[in-house]
Amino acid sequence: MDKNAVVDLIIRTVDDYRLTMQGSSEAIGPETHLYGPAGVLDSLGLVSVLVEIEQKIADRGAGPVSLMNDAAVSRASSPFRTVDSLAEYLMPQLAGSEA
Amino acid sequence: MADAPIALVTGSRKGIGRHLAERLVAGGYRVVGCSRQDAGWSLPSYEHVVADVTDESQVIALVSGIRQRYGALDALVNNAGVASMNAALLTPGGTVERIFRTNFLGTVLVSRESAKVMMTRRFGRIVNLTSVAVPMALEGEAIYAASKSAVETFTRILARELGASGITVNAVGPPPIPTDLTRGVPSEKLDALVGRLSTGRPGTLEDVANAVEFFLRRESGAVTGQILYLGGP
Repeated sequence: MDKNAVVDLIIRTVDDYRLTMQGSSEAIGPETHLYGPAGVLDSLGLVSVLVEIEQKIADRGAGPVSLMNDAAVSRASSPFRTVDSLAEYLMPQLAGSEA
Repeated sequence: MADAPIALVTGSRKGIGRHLAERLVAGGYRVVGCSRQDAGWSLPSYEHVVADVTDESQVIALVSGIRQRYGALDALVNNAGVASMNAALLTPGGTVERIFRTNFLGTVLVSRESAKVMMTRRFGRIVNLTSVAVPMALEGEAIYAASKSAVETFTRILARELGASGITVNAVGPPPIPTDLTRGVPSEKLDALVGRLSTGRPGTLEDVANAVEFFLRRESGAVTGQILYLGGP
């Protein structure tokens, strides 16, 4: 998957969650904050979206991926901050699991 | 069986785990069990997976496989556990680590991965196994009881974190039951322990199954974060 495809995957997953759980169809983009004061997701929403993304990646045959690993939580800047930062964080993991 | 609820039982090769797996199959579940070795037994609607609950990658593969094969996971029973009865001052660090890895880390890893699958359907039941060794503060069981204390705290907090997702988390604490886990305990020690119970008798596999089945019921959706000790310690 290239980065654009990963960004699309994240946006579609967040859109689905927000439409289902929050009744919101407001458009989001790569710079949208996922979590935090300006974020579109609460903690439960973030977890739900990350789980959904993990499962979609696994279903694409890329093998099991765990987004919530030690590397993610120990970073000074959270990879779950924005759509783009999450995509950046996912890329090397995807490359590893698809190899 | 296409609509049968799916249950995962860890440590299902023998003892309490095997009994629970058999009971759940009899109750209409499709059950996936796991242990570090082959089960050595089989049953329709039962699938055994060789997996070590202390190995994160194996746990991820185990639960991911369940989701891909069955599309859901309704119930988890974290039964896999080890014990080592010894005075705290005589317990090697390696033994402490082994007990905590299986009893606590294993419970955390399997719960985490299972809850991810349960969240997608906003329904799930998680039951952890603890022990009366926690409230009874039994001499010689400091490490084992401490590992189960960790399981109990994890149970109560996980129940809060997952409550809004329709997932309940509870724990059952049996008294000593004649299984491999208690085989190394001197009989006079077991007798003294049983003598302190309100029931005055050892636990049975049926006692545990009855409590677990109560927590697993769909109607038990308001019962969460509870630690249920058997035998009246």
